[in-house]
Amino acid sequence: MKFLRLIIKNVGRNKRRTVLTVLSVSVSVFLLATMQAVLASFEANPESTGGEYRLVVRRNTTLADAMPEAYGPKILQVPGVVAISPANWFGGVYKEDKPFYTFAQFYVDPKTIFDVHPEIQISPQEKAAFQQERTAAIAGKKLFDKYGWKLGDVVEVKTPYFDLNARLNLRGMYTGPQEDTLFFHRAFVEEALGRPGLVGTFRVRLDSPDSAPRVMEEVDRMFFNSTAPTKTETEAAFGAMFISMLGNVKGLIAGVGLVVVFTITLIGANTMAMSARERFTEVAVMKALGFRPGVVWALILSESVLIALLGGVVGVVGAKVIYQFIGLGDMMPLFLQNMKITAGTIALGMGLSALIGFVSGGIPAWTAARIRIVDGLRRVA
Amino acid sequence: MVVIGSAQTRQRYVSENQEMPETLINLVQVTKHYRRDTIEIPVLDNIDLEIAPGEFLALMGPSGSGKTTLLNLIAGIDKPNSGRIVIDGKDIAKLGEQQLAKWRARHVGFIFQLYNLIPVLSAFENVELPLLLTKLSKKKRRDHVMTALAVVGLEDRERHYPRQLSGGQEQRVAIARAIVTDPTLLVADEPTGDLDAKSAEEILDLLKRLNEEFHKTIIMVTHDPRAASHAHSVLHLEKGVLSKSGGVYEVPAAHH
Repeated sequence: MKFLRLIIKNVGRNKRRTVLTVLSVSVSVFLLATMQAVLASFEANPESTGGEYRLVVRRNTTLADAMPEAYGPKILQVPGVVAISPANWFGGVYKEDKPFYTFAQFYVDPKTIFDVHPEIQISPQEKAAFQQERTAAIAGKKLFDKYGWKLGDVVEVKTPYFDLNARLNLRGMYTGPQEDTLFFHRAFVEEALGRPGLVGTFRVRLDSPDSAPRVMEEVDRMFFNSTAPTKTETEAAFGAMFISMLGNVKGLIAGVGLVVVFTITLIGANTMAMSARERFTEVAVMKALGFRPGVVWALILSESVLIALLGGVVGVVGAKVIYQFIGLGDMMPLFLQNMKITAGTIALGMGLSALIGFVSGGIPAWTAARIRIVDGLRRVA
Repeated sequence: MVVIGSAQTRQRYVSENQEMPETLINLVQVTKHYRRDTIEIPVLDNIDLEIAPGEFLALMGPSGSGKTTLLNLIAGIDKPNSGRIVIDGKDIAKLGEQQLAKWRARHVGFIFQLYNLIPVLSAFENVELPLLLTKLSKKKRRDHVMTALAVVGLEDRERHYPRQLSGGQEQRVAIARAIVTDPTLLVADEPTGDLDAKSAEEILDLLKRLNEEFHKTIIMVTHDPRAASHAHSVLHLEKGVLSKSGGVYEVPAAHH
């Protein structure tokens, strides 16, 4: 501890350089925290409670293709299936086509949706109001908070996929694992579109998670020879499909992140080398006074680690503030709106910054510690 | 007392009324050369030297004569190619780097031409620096530092940084740093070389005081005959050979 003051004073020796180095490390750590938050956001989606009791039936081609709604009653007949509810992605634009105004919208059956998703918590009055009115909608609390909605408000969403402007009356606010979705009546959209009778996905509730493999197989076998074969999967697998679509993006983010971290480490190493080189005479004097090479090495390395850790703190605090407190994550695309800086991310960020400090300071500190005293003194004399 | 020459040709220089004292520093057949690529440059050639405790010795000689090298060897910051350097009974030429660092911390105080204070540390912190290597408590370190600063007359400048001090004051802080551990030996390499005449005189008086009042053994390298005149003995080094004759400055009587 008696050397701490010496370390801190040396860190503050060239304030501008220290600040710039801290900032460069903080950018690196911020990027890492962002990467981690993005990955956490991807993985947060399948975490809805009761997901293990649910299957999702879709077309075996793409999500853009739909199935006849007549599949519903047939699937319900499969042993192990206790409830089924059709759900179509609406993909409407609320106010403006910007990430801030983007949220999930599904037109669903207002009765069976609650059988399949019992985790949706809503008061009986609001539930009844939703079910009774064809243009009614319910939304998660998060959306209410985000847009300042109140019950009775009219929410207008326009879909670019088919020419439909849905003016919906907000009749209920639900809470639950995913509070960022708007649900409204399937019948309303079907009627507006001339009753095509097509379903994007069927949400299936099982009697037991153990039934999942058998039900999945039976459902897909049932429609294998039809004009619209299905692909049935667990809710977790369905969610993972979206993540797998982002596989390359994840790889790209990780790649860019690694390059930035490597570059920052080189910059840090150069800075520390410069700092150590400027002080060779001082190091020589300290060694002449009796400071052993190991102590000199530890002192210079500690400076490097301290600077890097300061950068780490700025990086993770910055990420926390930006993504959670300011809520910039809400302005991200839909799948990134759950960005969170977790304790694990903070630990990883601080670990990375310490590593940058060690790697960038290690060699300059070693070089300084090994300098011959007479050579160091001769630089001035 | 200073003795130069080998066992066969020893020349003792002792004051007339002085008894033969014990030896603090004993250099035996010390040789040092540097290597530049394939060329070997001899610096010190079979130096024999004895210095008694409490001596104030000035080393003079032209540039490149090896006086700083000799000082560095005695101070334990460089190693001879051959020979023994026995200080207070210990042959420091045989010590490893770690042991030598520990030995220096305990036995040697350094005074440099350019003071070599750490610019980001205050006068107090600069003087405290060698004490960080000891097990002294914070309070005891403070006591030692303030005593050292008082000896050099700068106890009121403890919070000043080097850039806030004059050259003479900086050198006095450096001297405080050199004496704060109460070392056996003070080595000074051109301590007045960067100072004006008045400051130089103050520094030399301070060194003399440290020698006379605190009985510090001092070896000082200097080009300046006036600085050398403050020493008890003056040795001349030329082409790696030590002598008292030749370039020895005749010390004016007024300085003794």
